Amino acid sequence: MKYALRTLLGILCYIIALNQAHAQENTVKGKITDTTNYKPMAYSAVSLINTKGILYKTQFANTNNAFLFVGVAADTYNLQITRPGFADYEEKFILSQNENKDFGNIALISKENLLREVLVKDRSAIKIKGDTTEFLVDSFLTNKNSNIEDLLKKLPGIQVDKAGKITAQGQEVKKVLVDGEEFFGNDPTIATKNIKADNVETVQVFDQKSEQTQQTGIDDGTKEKTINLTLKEDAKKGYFGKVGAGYGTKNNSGIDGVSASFGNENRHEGEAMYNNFKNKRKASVFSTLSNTNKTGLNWEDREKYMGGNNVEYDEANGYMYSTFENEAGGFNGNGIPNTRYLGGNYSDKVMKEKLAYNLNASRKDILVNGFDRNYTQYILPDTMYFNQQENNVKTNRINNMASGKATWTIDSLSSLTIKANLNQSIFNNDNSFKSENLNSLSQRVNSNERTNTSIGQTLAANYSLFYNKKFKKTGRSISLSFDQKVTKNSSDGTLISDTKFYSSNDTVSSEQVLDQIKTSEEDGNNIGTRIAYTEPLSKTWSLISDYDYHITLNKSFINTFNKRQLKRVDSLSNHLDYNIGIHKGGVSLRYITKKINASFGARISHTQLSQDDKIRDTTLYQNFLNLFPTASINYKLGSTKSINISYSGSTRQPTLQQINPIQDLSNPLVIFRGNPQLGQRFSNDVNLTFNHYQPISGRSFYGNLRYNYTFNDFANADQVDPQGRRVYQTVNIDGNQSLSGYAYYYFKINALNLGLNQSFNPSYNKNANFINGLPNVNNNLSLTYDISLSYEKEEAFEIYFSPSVSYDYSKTSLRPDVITQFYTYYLELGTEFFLPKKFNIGADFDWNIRPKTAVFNTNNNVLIINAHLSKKFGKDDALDLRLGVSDLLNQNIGFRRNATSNYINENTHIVLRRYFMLNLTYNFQNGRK
Amino acid sequence: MKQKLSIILFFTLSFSSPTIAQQLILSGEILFERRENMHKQFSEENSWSEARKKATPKYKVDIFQMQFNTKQSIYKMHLEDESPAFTWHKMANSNSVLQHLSMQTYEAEKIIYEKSYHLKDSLPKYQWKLENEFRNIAGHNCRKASTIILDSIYIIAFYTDEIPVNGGPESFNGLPGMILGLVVPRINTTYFATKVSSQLIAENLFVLPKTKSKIINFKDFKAEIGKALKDWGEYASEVIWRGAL
Repeated sequence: MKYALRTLLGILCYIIALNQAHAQENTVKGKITDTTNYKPMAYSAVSLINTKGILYKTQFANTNNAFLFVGVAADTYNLQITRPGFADYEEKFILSQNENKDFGNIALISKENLLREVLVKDRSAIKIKGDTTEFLVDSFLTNKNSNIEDLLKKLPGIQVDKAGKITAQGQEVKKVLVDGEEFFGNDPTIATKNIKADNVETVQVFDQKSEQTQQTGIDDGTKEKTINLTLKEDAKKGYFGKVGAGYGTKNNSGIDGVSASFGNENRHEGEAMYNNFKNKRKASVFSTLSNTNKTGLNWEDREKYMGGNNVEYDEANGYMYSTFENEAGGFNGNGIPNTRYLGGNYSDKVMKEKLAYNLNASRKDILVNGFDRNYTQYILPDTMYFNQQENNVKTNRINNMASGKATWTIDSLSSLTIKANLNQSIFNNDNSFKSENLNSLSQRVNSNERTNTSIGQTLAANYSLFYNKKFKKTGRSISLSFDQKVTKNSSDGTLISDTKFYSSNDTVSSEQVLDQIKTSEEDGNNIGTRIAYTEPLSKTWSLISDYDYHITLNKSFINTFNKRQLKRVDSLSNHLDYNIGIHKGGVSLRYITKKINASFGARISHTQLSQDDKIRDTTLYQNFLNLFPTASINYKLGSTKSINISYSGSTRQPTLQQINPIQDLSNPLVIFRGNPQLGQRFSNDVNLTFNHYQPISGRSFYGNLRYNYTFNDFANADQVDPQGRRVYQTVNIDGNQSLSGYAYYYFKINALNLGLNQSFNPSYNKNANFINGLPNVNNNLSLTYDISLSYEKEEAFEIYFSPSVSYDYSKTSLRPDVITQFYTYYLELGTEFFLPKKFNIGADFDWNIRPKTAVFNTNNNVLIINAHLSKKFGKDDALDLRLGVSDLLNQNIGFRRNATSNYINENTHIVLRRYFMLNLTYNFQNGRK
Repeated sequence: MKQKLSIILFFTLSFSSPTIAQQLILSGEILFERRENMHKQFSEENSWSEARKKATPKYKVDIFQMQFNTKQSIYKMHLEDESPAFTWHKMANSNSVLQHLSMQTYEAEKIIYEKSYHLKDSLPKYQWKLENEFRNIAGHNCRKASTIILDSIYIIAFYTDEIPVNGGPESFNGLPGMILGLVVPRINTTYFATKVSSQLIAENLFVLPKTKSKIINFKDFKAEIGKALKDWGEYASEVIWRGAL
């Protein structure tokens, strides 16, 4: 009743409006009737549509079956009345100024006798253009993978028999064209069976005049039924690539106080890359050569020519990462490289895209010439040593790599991934050193000159199989994996060393000369399997369980011979088997709701370490049982705010080098000795993260706090004798801990339309070691603060500015009187200007300010300026000419400062300095991408 | 005379109502399924996109409920897609919209990142182009219409004259019948009715929940977001498009 009353009220208002409308000009009205059945016609939809098909006004007929439009502008309209069950009524009329149009009674005709259902969903799917009938393929396609033949069967008026014969509109189709061209001759079935319907936009059926008619222009009346398939724009096919070359000036790199200069040849860069693609198949090759710091491919080129960047998704933690072959002994910025790189990639998706595979192969040959100098301060309980060492490095490494990955999507619920990788690295190192140790009174204690060479290779082969199956029940899944990695490393080396020890009056008190040959071979075999099962317990809870078993078998043969006596040195030789077996199993519960994502669980692991020393005929077994509780909780405080806290525990086994019970004499003044007693370490991590993102307010905050406590951590035990000789080994120690934080805050200065990023990165760690048998605790504090801001004006310029400051403090318990602290400042400014006529000019400034300290009394301030001018030419800007200069002021030095425990080290090394270079790059492409 | 007429009208209405109800729905509830193709945002061909696609379900499916009569409609989230892949940074994801059709005004509650807004404005007017295409949605015969909003966003709507109400999902309105289908290709999103039922809707249901949101008109709302996200380039436009629906 209430409803009826309200309706009535509405109608009353309507009537008032009706009455008022009489006074106004330009109205359109009428009344709808149904002459046959006398049904009420209220709520029929009445619309005024203008000549462009735009809806001008619409209303529903009132309960009196009438409609009235008021204030209608003078124009030509189409009056449309629609009502379910009735045929549409349409009438075109012209409404002049000050005209009131009355349609009187309009009778709608019932649709009952009309064809009611039209099954083609989209009426525009079939078009008739003159004598051509065109079908829009997507409207008829039900299965994406069907071929043209399947498609044709579905089109009205077309039949395909078992032999593939096509009949269209009653006539046999003699020709099938693709984009207007004949597809492999005159047999229509070749095209219909081989082209995927998914790639076809339209199917056109028409009568093609005979060839004779086409040639002569005289219609002989012979016509052939023809089908033309027009392909979609995105059916991909073509190639792209680039060729570039650069030539530059000579370089003159050096370090203060060292007469040798490096890089005295002209700089060059060259690259050639080509990718050929057809739908999902991609084949590419690339080659680069350079003697600049450009030793590899950048992200974009790896994406284009190396089959991608190996981005993986960690489902459990919900993050993505990219793994890229970090080849052993790759260029680390120390020295001047000369690189030759060659590679190729082939990838495809076959079996209806169910099988995707990717094959890669590459060869990289890199030769590095370098020089570095180290100043080191050793802080001992009763004294101090200062060491200065100069090192001439010549390294050649050739990496050959082949890898493959295949993913087979068996069905919508299961998949199998197989990966395989083969890596060979051949190296040839030639290093010569010169070092000197001074005591706290600046008296010479010892000096050493030596040459180490080594030639050898590392070989690694690994593969893995991963099978994942989900079940119909949401959340239930099982995964199985199996993997193996086999490594074989061998090297032959020589050591020629002359060490002199001095007495207090700077006379040689003793001398040690070594001339040795060292051969080593290490074999490793790691094999294992893992099974994981997830079971949903309820809508919010699920149970995850897993079991993992991995075994590693290592064999090491090291033989050191005294060259002069051709005799094996037993203390430096060994034959050792080192095996690790780890069982791990665990259960965890996961809880997921809209606000909370939490998991709690525990894993148990049993580790068995065994060492079998074949020369000394000793065997050592160690067993560890560990419990790893894990917990993580993520709480959403809104759609842009969340807090996360987690704990995890993990173990790490000692490496083969750490436990091998022999000495490494390659530096007779710093001798490493393996420790067979070394046990595994256990690390505990607690992590707290807070995130608040407010883009509308122009603010953003991210904060992270991380605490680590390690039981049985690895630490160095140093034994320094009065002659300044250091012998050290790895031992287990308790009490190592660290606390670090990271805070990032962004805010926008609205007045300047400038976003300011700030970050603060404090870290504190406490770690212990032993010096001459005495325990020593090192406390290190490091604070870094930086600001960065960038501003850009589209197509005009970009500026990036970022200053930062960091502070380092370190103190040891054995010598609380010696405190090391220093500041480092860094300022970065980047600019790029976009000039008319496709010119670009830009410059980057990197200013490092590293003040002198009590220990490091050399000036290491460096301002590096890189600048370039470039211009694009040609069609699609295919040519890029660039003139650049690196390190305009010729100041660059490689630099590292390290103050972590009882020794403080400053390293400077040769890097490329000023050179000018002219580069020309040609980018080409063809086809649809 | 006027009084007489209204009495006659009243009687006509009372007697004819059952017959009308057989064909037309004047009041009821519609469930809309909003589907967004989440893979379209990773259209660039690189390994990052490939990994994102693997980690993200292809469609995000939310169910909205609309209750209406001939004068007003209330549209709100009914069942949200809670897949963990979609938890972050949803903007204008679960708008509640109250359309006062008889007064040609609307109110909407929209959350854009950290801010929530209460929009109050006259109903947006669309230049609907009626097209000669048909589709059956949730058992109702619909006609196609299209329009362009914000100068470039193409919208396709399917409306039915079987529900003689000018409303639709979000703030869409103004067609000769209820909108049961809506396609916004630019943001890879479709809205299609899955269930339509005829029922009386109590008047007190046509209210938006009380919030402390900032009351704002559409013009200022658009300007505020536009200004805040000025440097986001193309992505800012996308946020505005979503906010403007």
